[in-house]
Amino acid sequence: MSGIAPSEFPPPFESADVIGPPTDAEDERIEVGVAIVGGGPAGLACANKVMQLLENEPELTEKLGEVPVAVIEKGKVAGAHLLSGANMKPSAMEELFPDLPKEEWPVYQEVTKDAVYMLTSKAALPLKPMPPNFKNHGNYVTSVSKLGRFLSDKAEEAGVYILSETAATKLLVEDRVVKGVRSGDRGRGKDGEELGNFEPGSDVIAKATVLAEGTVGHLTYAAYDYFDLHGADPMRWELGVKEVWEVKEPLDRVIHTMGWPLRKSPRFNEFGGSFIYPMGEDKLCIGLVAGLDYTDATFSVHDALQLLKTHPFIKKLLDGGKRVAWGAKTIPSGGYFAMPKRLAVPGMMIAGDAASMVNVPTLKGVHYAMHAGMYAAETIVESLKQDLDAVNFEAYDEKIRKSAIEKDLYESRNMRQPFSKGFFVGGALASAMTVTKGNFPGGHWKQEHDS
Amino acid sequence: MDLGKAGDMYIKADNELTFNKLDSVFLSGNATRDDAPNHVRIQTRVPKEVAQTWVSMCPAQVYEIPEDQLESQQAEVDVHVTASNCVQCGAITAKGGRLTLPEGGDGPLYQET
Repeated sequence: MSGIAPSEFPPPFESADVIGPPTDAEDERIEVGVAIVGGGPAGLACANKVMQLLENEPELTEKLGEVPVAVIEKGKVAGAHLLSGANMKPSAMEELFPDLPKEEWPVYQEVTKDAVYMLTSKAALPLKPMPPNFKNHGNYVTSVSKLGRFLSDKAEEAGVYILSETAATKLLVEDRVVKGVRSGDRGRGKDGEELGNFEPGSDVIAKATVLAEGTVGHLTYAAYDYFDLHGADPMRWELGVKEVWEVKEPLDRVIHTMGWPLRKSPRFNEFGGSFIYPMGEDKLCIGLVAGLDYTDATFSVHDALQLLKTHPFIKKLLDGGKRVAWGAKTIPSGGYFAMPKRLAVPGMMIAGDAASMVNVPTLKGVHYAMHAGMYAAETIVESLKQDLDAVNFEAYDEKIRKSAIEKDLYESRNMRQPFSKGFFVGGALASAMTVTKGNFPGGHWKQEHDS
Repeated sequence: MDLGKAGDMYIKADNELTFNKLDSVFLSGNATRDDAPNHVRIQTRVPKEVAQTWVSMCPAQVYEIPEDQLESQQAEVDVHVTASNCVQCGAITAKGGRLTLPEGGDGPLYQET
């Protein structure tokens, strides 16, 4: 990398500023059983699972009080801030709702056909055999913003309180034990002044706190600093920009592309690719993802996606259609070695994207997030049943380390680094890693920081 | 970061197949108050390479370099932040800044992304 790194110009922000003890008077604090930060797949799977487990624990339910589980969600509704591919593996939905027929799942369709293309500016060349990491047979095309709404409705039916339009702006910590979170003030002006509709935030005190904030977690990354949780590699991210289109012709397969308009020369470090997924008979989504460790200051994922749509192969798929939705989101892409050293600290657990639980080469994260949320739920109920004042949730860490999440992420641990990069690794090396379950080439490939 | 030529490849929006960033943000259902405190933490006077990185990277046109400074040869430029465009994608945290939280309820209203 040449030139100037943005990281040489750090932002005016201190993690310590968003961590501190409760400040509200004791009788003004909001007491809940479990406080979950983030109404995404991880947080809402956790909320649903806690309620399911509590059905057999009347005594503990009683002790958890009026609000056994609260989900604190900054979006207007759960799902409002969620964006993903997404080809979801069904395992987590099956585990969480074993009796729910698949027809009622918030999904568009099962994947029956896959294709991967290498693009030049004019042509689309099918990659055969398809790199194994791109196989999606048996997975389900979904929208995480729909999934979020679905899981949130289920949770509410089960008795969870969804506190939407609520930002968790401070992690409440006393004697290095997490006590809950503080919600943000409302009604402040440009310079922080109190406007006529000002309402101060509140301390939300919980027996257990779960950070399921998703990518770039506000409190999560502050907690990484405060509790010294940073993993072996620096965290890194890719940026995805996605559009939903109404189209005339249904798409009959899941498509991934590599190559154009990303530039090949290694000095640009532009790694990524596109995904084009069918959404039923009349819609599809198209997105472009690129690692944020590129080197050209004028590179734009948004504008590269616009350019991609003018490719003859892609343009044909959108012909006569209409763009009906747009969004952008980062994806944690550090993988196994960027996961926090510990997933639990006294009083708190970290789940899902916040903890880098994304398998980058296979583009999977939603089901890991949900499984992690369920493991957190089991840990909470088991621990609080033994002792309502328990703060040791290390069993969660052990459950994850023994789970498929850890196994999958471990096997793919080096896939991103060789290409320096990417989802859309393609090519022989990553395929070899998939085939050999990470044993070739093995070891731990070192990563550079994004910026 | 270097001031390269990726930007020269990009095309002008035709508003049918291709769109500019502000039209995209509009479609996200973003409803952040214009008079809310700025929740995006960056240094606002930085080398042009860094400023341009943020301008180009951000899919929601949060960052802008004032036009007169863009043309000039000066090494450092100002960065103007329009935080109400932000869809909270998080990219700024990866590239030298820090996304913090705006007021609850602000940001996009994604329906099926």
